[in-house]
Amino acid sequence: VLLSSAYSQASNNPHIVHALAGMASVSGGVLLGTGFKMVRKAKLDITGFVFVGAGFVAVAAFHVPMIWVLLALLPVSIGSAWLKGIPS
Amino acid sequence: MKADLIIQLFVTFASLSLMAVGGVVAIVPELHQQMVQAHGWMDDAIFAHLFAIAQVAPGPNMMVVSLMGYHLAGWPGLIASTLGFLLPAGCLAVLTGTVIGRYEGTWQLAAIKAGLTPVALGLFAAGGVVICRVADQDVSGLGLSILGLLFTLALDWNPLWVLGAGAVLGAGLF
Repeated sequence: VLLSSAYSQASNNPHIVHALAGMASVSGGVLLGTGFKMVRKAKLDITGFVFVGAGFVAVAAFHVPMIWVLLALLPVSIGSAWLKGIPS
Repeated sequence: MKADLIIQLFVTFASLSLMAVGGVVAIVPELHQQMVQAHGWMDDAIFAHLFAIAQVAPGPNMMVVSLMGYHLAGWPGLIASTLGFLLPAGCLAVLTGTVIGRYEGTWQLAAIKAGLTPVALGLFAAGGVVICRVADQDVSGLGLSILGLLFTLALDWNPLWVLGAGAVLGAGLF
């Protein structure tokens, strides 16, 4: 909150605005990198990668509203993991 | 007038919180859609700035929710958005926590987790893309994003280092 109040006062200082814009740009890259790292660590199989890719493309490239992405992907993703997980 | 905004904030964040499979970053695309496009509560620049502040400030990532509420409607906005974001998801978490405890170690639970993970990861990465798209107004912004990406992939350092570098470069170069 302190930072936010400071922000409303500083938002007409171009240096601070540029610094914030710089941080925002960097943080986008950091998040992407963190995403890559987590995918690498998750040790997914091919189906897993398909679901990562499907959610990513739907939201990032096609701006599909999140609720539809979740409703479409979660049942299929959980269902496929479920079928694979049934002990024989 | 103002009460309307407070209620809208609460409802918006409550519905967002229930979609937060994969954390706050995963709902960034939807958050941006709601804040900037649907309601027109802020522009891309302010959205990016508030997100950056929440990133560097100590405390949980979800602080961006409180910051946006505060930015839009002061203290009542902060309380409405924070409670809206915490209450429904919190109840859900307590509920599932109890249920999960009962099924810990079963293959069914493992399957559900295995099914949730890839979706959450895809949405997380999409959140990163949306922040880049919102924040990068020019080539230099894109360069800073690439810097952040490479830094994260190459080094295991605290991201605050590269965020600080981004602040200095941003202020100094443009």
